[in-house]
Amino acid sequence: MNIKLLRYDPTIDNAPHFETYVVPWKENITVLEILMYIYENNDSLAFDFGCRGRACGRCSVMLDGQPVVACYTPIHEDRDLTIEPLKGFPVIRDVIVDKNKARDKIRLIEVRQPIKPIGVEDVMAQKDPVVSSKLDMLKWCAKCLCCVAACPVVNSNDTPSSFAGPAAMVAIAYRYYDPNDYGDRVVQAVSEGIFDCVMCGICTQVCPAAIDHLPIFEELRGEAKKLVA
Amino acid sequence: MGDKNSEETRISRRDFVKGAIVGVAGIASAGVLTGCGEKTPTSSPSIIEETVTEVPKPIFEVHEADVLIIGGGIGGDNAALEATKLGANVMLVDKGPYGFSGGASCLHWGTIVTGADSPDVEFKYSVWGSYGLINQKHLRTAVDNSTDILQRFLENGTADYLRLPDGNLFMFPSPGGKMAFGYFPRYDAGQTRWDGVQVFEKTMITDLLVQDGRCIGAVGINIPTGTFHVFKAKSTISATGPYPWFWGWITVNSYTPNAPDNTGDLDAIAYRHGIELQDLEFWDYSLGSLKPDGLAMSISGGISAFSLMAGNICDKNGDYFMQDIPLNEMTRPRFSYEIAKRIAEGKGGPNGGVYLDLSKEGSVRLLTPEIMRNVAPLKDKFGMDVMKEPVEIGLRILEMVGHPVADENRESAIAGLFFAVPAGRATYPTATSDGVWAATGGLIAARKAVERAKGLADTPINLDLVNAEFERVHSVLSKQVENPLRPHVVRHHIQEACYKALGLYKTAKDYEAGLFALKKIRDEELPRMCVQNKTQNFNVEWKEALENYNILDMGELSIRASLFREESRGPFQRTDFPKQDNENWLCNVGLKIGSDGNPTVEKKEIVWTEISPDDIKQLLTTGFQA
Repeated sequence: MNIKLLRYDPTIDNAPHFETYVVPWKENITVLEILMYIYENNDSLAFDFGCRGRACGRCSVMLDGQPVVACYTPIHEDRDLTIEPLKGFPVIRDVIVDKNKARDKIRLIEVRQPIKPIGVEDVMAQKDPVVSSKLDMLKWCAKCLCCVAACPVVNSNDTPSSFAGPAAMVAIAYRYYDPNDYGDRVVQAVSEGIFDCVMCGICTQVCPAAIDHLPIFEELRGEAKKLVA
Repeated sequence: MGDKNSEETRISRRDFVKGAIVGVAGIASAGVLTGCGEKTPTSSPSIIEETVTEVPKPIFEVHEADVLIIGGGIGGDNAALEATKLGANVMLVDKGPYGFSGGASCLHWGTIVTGADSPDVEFKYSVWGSYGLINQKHLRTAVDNSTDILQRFLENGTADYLRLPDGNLFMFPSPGGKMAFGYFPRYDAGQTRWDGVQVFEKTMITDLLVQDGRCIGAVGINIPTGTFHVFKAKSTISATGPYPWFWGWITVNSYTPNAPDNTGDLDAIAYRHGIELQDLEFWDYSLGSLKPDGLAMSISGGISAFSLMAGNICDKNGDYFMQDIPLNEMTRPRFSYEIAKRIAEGKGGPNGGVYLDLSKEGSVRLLTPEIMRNVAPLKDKFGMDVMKEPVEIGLRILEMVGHPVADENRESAIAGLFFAVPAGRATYPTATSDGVWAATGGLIAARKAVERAKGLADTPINLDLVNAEFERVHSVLSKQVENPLRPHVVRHHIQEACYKALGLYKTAKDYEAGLFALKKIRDEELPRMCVQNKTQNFNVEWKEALENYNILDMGELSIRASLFREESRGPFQRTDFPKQDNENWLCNVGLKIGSDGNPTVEKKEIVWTEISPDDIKQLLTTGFQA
């Protein structure tokens, strides 16, 4: 395989530049294995990973223009491909980008707003299984930010957007369904731009955690409309 | 003006750079990196010509707080939350992206939570489950501090645990405890920041600052920028997790589901500062899918096998060799060594594993959610139909028991230095399982750390120590040799040697071969280790080179501990001493650095308070009854 990889060290290079590396293909080779091969055999590049299972979000990159998690993306044939850093984030070096803008916001959203300590009876009490199943889905968000890289609203050049992006909305939804959170997460969804979302579903298409965003966003919008009405 | 005490308790930095920390004989390097170009003569036959590149003048940032916490996983987070609650100013340093690094944070597989509701039963179960070796002082503190853990973990930030379809909590029976599933430590990460903890992520601690027998903080580099940082604190808590990254290499990981962060940095640093390490011969194994290579051993990406699946596991001949073992005897160690035995008998598959057969009726019920979520993607993306075709699974290191020694307050022999998970946990199944032990340990360490910090007089930093470590760290980056080896090359040799030497059913010959191989790497390869790209900007290679010293030390020490224990016990099985020997080996094994730089190994009496050694022997013979 001929791998075109966008290299860039802002402390050394004047501009990003593509380098091409030849990597032997094997069945189910992952993009992460390709990066590791280049690192070990060709050039000391900067890349990161953790869990090898789309759960930590550390290895997200652009593969042929699409955001993917490198560890869980197999290449099914001996072909050429292009790897670039995740779109929409400042590049630190090679495929390492600064995710802090998005992740810091998410972290603040995720701080629970409780009104009382949680007792063992709260834990043991029966919960709504519909809510539980939504939490079971949302909790797997790896904060890989593939959704943010793909979102046409976040990446729009036309008008500045107040939409914080799908990953931030997933974090808001996580606390919205959290039985021990009492914050007004519907108001938060509105202020973080839930109505700027164009409901295109591209986030769901690229999400490695198979999160189904649109029904959740619909629910939040529905609740928000009730508030304003 | 150097601090003589701190120089005495650790090997000098020259030796350290040359890689002569453990095993002083055979120093091959000819250069000394002081920035002045001096060379010391060597009597070794292979002289390695070294060009000295000037190391920059030390420049660094200094940060100060009451309590420094190294490691931002379950242990570190719970320590941080407790310390801030008690009014301390807290700094937390993590080598990776905070909340997404190390074991549980990275794996995101939903930690098992076991809370004790019958502490005395839990206690007895843990002593039995640890084959008698658990530190009972530590155990009592862990058990007593886990009675409220179900609420406490949710209070940290996880929204809820796993529930049944009817909305009731899914609980697993556990002797003396309640077991729930689904604590995701990353959801604590917002809370720590909100509570005012200063978080320094993607920052690797390269050494502790120890002056006059007291730890006053640590130093290290920020990986994205290469900036050197000094973290000054009155109390320091280390919570850096296991160190399995020395055990073999597949394509992107060792034989472990853990993260590339888990290289044992603080365990090795502690050892070099003279702290005793203990129980290094004991690991917790589990089983994971071997193919495809890129997902091998991954919990979050592959298929894991647990003891409940014993009846679904067959060897290469299709023999379901564990189905007659009663479930209450199928502990985690038993599950591991029965499988290892089968493989050692030559009945394993082509990739060195056994087979998980999920095609049987009702098998899907055995799959926990974090495994279940992989079934469809493995089929759709990777062409593996795990519900129809047998999955080859192999042994991997899940957790490690060996760590620095500390008392029941988690305080080590160096004042002001704490370990959230010190030695003394012994092996699973302790009722207070992996994550809970780390969390309660973090809590207990934090309480003592804050108490110690209160009213403590300020200790000015000895800048000679900081400058010396700056020079060492930078010399690793700037070093040039004629015949260089990149860090990953050296690392893979270490991993290969450790994989051959360590694991189930090895012998003294295997251990000795491993020590020989590692010594060769230390003497001949480590001095040639060079970073190809000299950038300070997110230099993965530089980080790997620094980690390699720690990986090598932890691998060697693990082999030495294994060689020393001449018996088999639980997950430690060796074919030359196959029997459990309670008369001679109901003890722990400790390793300490000697004045010549070589480790000394010794038996240590088990720390017992409630169940005496005689009662333990009885308990191990009769088995556990609640």
